[in-house]
Amino acid sequence: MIYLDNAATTKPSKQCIETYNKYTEEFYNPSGIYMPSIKVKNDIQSARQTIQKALGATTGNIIFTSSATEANNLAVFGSMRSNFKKFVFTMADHPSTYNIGVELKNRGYDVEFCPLTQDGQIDYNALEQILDDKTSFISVIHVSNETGAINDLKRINELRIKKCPNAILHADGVQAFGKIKINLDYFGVDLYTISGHKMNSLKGCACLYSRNIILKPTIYGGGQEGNLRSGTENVGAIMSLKTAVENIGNIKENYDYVQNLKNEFIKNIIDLPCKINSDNRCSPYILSLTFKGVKGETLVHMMEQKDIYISTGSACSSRHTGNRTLESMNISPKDVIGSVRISFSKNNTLEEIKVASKELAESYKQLIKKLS
Amino acid sequence: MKRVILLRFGELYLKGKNRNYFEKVLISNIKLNLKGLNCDFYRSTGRYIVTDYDEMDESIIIDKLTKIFGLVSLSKAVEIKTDINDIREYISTLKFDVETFRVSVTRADKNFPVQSNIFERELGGIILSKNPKLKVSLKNFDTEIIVDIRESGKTYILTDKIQCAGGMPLGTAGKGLLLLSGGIDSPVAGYMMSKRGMSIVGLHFHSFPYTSELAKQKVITLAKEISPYCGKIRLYMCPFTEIQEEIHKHCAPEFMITIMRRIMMKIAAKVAAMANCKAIITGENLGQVASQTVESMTVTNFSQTEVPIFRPLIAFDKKEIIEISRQIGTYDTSILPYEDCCTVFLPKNPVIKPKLEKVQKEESKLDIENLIQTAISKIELIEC
Repeated sequence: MIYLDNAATTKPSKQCIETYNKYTEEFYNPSGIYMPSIKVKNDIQSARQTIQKALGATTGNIIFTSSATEANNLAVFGSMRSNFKKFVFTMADHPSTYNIGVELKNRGYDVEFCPLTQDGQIDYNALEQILDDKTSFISVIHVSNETGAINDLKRINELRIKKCPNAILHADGVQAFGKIKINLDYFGVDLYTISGHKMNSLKGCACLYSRNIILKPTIYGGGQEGNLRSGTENVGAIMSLKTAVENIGNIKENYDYVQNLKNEFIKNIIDLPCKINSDNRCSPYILSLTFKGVKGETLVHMMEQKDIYISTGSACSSRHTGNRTLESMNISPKDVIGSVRISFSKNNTLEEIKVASKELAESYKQLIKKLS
Repeated sequence: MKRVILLRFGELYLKGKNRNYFEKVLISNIKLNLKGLNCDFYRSTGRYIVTDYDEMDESIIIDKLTKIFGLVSLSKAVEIKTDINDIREYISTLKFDVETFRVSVTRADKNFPVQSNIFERELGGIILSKNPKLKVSLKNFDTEIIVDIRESGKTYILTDKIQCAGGMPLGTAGKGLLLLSGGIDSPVAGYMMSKRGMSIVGLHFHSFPYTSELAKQKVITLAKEISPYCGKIRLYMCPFTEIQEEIHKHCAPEFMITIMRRIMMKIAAKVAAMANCKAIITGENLGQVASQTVESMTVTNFSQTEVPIFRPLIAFDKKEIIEISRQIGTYDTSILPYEDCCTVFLPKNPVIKPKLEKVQKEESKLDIENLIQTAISKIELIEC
């Protein structure tokens, strides 16, 4: 089996599973006042510190949530105030933020979606135009889950300071954390979302970093997570996320290694009638391709028959037709249908990439022959 | 006093000497549906009664009963020992959130001391005294309180009538092979035939890798969703990719759909024989798409002559089909956007009024028998 859908989810590492299992034995409710509970509570506290350090944030706090979707919702709805007027999202946003924008628009707020350039990045000139003194909240995706395009958070923050210094800046870092170098102090963002299962930890735990934003809870109850996210903590998954962070290794080395995998993949399909939507400035972990004259879905299933797993697009939006991000990059809806996404992990081998890329090329050739 | 559910059946009355058979099947279906729920079920002078159940299970039992074909309606009731004072007392406790009502008394027990019409008025008076905002209306009433004084010494007091699925008991009209595509129509077609007593076996054609495993899963879900009405369904999954590729390769594109459907029917006829089905059921609906014109259906019919094709939705509007689909709970699954095999290799201009000779000529370019044999040999059977 060759798994190349790591942007959808990743295989939990042995270390993460071991950590998770450890906390099935140390199952105590962190809210308890006896020693085993207090120990678990302290462990969670240490996870918070490990994650915050890895994010390069010297101040602020970490709020654990059940998913990145929940963290994104907490970021927007938790920081919302009655005087909020205008919200800015981007066309590259993951549905878990983009659809918050759609909902806010339906509720009558002034919402704008920043367009993209043809390389999939935020159009900074357009963003500068969109931002104004009415802007209360900006949310951007750090690394596009569709193309791997990296948005320059520092530059966006500078625009924020120039145009709307009071606006809150949130970034969705789900595809960035652990893969590219991150320093939230340097970027200057206020809120940042990460997710465990995208980095070899388990599903069911994500978190929102908050610098000095006063948040209001979106879920009420027993007051866990500083009263911002009530509900008994998913201790095993939280501690697994800590383990995953401890095992990131050398980001630069991993980056170069995966870049090499991506280059190898591209080398083997470059002669086909196919557009590469992820240029070399993108995160090497994601490769978006648009093939001519076929459906991406058929290619995915043909690869599946060979025990190789890729996707047509983000797993969270694959139930819908079309692809907003790619269409925003000026790819026609007719062509978008031929798109596939290959997403790598540092655990993929060069041999796997050679096999998968050749099989994809072979599948395409077979398919185009049958359809002609 | 205990809570009971009274069941009424419809057309079985019409079945003369065969009534016992129909009733036997219905009883067995009711028992099968209530299996696992702690309750008693018995027949008492012309009616069925479900009793001795946990009050918390009542809504589950009613939900199951309303989906059994052959039952026309049911009523929640209380059963009390026939005693005039007990009846008065119970009636005085009833509360209403409607505006108008009537009381109907039936008195099979002629030893009961008060005549029906007099007792009706008396009980109506009790209700009015306790619910001063209510009004009596003998014709256009919001609710009817039925007091049924039986010869058995028991009285049943019923308030509301709940509609059941109607039709004939499932299993009294043989077995039919339902072509399940995954769309809105076919599950409704299966439901309609089961309503007339036909048991259902399913057949689905899939086109992996052009269609997804999700499309197969969707059809399995649909088969499960209609099973409260149609019983557990055996689902035959037939691969269709190779046949589509061959048609695409050899035949004129405008005949793609027509030839596909004819081959599907030929396969269906063979599967029907294997599964002991007496009919093929489709969700076709006149004029809905190019393959559903009278000419297209005629050409499809001529593909095989062994098994009749039933098209219960032929004269329905799409709106009506959607309404039933929502009612039986298949709509939300049916509209999931997974491609089915009919959308693969879709020609730009499919022939709307195909001529049999032309279609046969196009088909002759294929080794149909061989293709069918191969497809059938790869059929997968799923018990839903």
